[in-house]
Amino acid sequence: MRKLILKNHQSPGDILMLTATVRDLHASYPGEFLTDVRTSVDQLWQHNPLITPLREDDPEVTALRCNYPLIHRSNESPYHFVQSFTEYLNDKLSLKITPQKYAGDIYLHQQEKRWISQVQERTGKEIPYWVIAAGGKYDFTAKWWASDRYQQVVDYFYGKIQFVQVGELHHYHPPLRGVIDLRGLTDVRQLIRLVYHAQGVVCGVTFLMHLAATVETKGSAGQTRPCVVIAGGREPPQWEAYPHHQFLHTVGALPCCEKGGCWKARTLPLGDGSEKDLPRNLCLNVVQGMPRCMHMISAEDVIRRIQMYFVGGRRAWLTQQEFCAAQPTIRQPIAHSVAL
Amino acid sequence: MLTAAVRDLHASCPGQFQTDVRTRHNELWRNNPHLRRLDPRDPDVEQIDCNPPLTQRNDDPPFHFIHGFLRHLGNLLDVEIKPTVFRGDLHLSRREKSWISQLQEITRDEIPFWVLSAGGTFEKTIKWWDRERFQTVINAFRDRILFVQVGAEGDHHPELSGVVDLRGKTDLRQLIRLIHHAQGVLCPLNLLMHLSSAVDTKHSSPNRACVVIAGGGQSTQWQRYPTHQFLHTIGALTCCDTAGCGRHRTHSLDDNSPSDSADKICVDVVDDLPHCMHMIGAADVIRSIQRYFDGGVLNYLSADEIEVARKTLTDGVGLSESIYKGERGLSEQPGFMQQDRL
Repeated sequence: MRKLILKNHQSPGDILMLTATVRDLHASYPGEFLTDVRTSVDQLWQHNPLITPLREDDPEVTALRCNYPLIHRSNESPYHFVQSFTEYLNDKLSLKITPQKYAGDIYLHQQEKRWISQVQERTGKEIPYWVIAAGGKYDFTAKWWASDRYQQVVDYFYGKIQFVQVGELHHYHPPLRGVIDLRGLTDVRQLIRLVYHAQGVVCGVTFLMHLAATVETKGSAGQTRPCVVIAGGREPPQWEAYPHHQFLHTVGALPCCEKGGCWKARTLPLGDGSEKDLPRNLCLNVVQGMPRCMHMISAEDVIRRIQMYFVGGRRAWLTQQEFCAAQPTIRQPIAHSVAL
Repeated sequence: MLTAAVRDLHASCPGQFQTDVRTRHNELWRNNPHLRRLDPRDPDVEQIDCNPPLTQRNDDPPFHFIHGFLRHLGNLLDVEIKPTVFRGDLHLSRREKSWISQLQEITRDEIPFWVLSAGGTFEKTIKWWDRERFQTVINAFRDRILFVQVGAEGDHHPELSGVVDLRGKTDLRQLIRLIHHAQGVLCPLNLLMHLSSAVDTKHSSPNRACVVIAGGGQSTQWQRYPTHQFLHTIGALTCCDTAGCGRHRTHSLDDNSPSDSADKICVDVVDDLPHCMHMIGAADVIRSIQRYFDGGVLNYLSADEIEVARKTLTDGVGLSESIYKGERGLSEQPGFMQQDRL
């Protein structure tokens, strides 16, 4: 039995992809490995049956710092992010791990599944809702879409879909009207549980997108969760898009992302001394404070893609009772939406 | 897709293999530098029946069609074949590239055009979209995009107006060359979509615009190319919640074809279209095509080109006269964007 400790301290989305690799390693080599991890997001590994506590000073243990150089071929090659660490492990350990699934690997404990959602804690009634992330980290502002467009989407579905806004407090997540505001109120595990209860997700290319594809759907394991991703032209679709998501991209439509994702970090420099401010990391085509690729995606585009999930008949709009239950908990309309 | 596997085999194992093929479509292999004439009776020649098992489980694993042959070959030959580029491998000779397009033979002047396939084979009627909606798309781009309709004789390719009609007039090699000259492609899931990616663009732009009306028949990861606008409904309907339904026909055709068995017939038909295809509106397609122009990689027809296009169409190549005799295009109709985009 080979003993492996896999290490990575990147962002939650990266770690989520590593969970897929651990799953696929064990599926491809059943009983041949013991695996443990050292990562920046322990909560992603809670209840994971494939993790065995291992000590780094155990002479039988191989500790491996996991990278994903595959990203450098992401524009040309038919690989998804979910395969990224798998390819690395295959190369490093001469393995032939076969990717099994288009998702990370998250385990919710039975007890966690029984808990009511954070939304229900507020509404007192179980209602369907969509999780929305209307911003992101300051190191990748090129992923942001305009707050007023998110607001248009929320406004359009007033009375039909209840949105729940999430986001870390130290990131950029401008407040939206008419939503249940959980910004800054979810740690990773709470976010996972929130997504578990969620009917759908609207977001940019973020951790939330990966969770939408990974976290099982409450009451219907095996069923997919709607997700509309406002992607623009930063990342190649084959690298990021999940099969059942509506992934709004512009790759191939602009000179700056004609060959694939541009992978730029920021729309405009923030003057914070970060290397993300270097010219090579800045968007080349900015329109009204947004990357042009994001500017080209309208609120109507997003609305249309959300509608598709309902037109198909698999999901129902809010009932009057559900709508009423949500009202006391929503962020009241404010005078002005925050624009980028 | 097999052309890609041969290319990547040689890229991954340079000098280790000599390859030849026996396939139904020899025109796809013309000018391919990776092929060498091999005698099947030669004892050194190994024959491989390429029927990749991955096609039978395209629902969940993160693989594109391009992986199908590639992994199959790799396993049989016990080599690791890594995909190099995300496209098939077609080779046009210098001479072929120097020829004018079939369209230019008609127009005399070179003008940009999109190739359009508005139908398909009777084996997979589930891939068909509504003729009227195709017509709406064409009308919306009147005087901005010239569409050239193609389709194999014997297949279902309903007549459209306001297009240059090359239905039944292209063999496979001619189709490849036509696409070489094309600015963009509009089609359902079919060969044209793959050709759109695989055939070099004439002016060396890295990719060709392509809008695919896919619905929920096949899994997105298995079919979608990165720079295409791929309109799908996977996840939106019960019958294609996690993956493509894999069904073949919208209705039974009573022709004893394997495609006519009950498990191959669409389970959710709306107005004679699979629900998944019905959910894709003309406005969705129009919006997706527009994206390439809004983004600046393509330009609509210039004034001179419009004249050429008009002349070509009114000279009778597949033109329904109505388009240029007073019938307004959809985009000119009041409230179009407001009503139809949502």
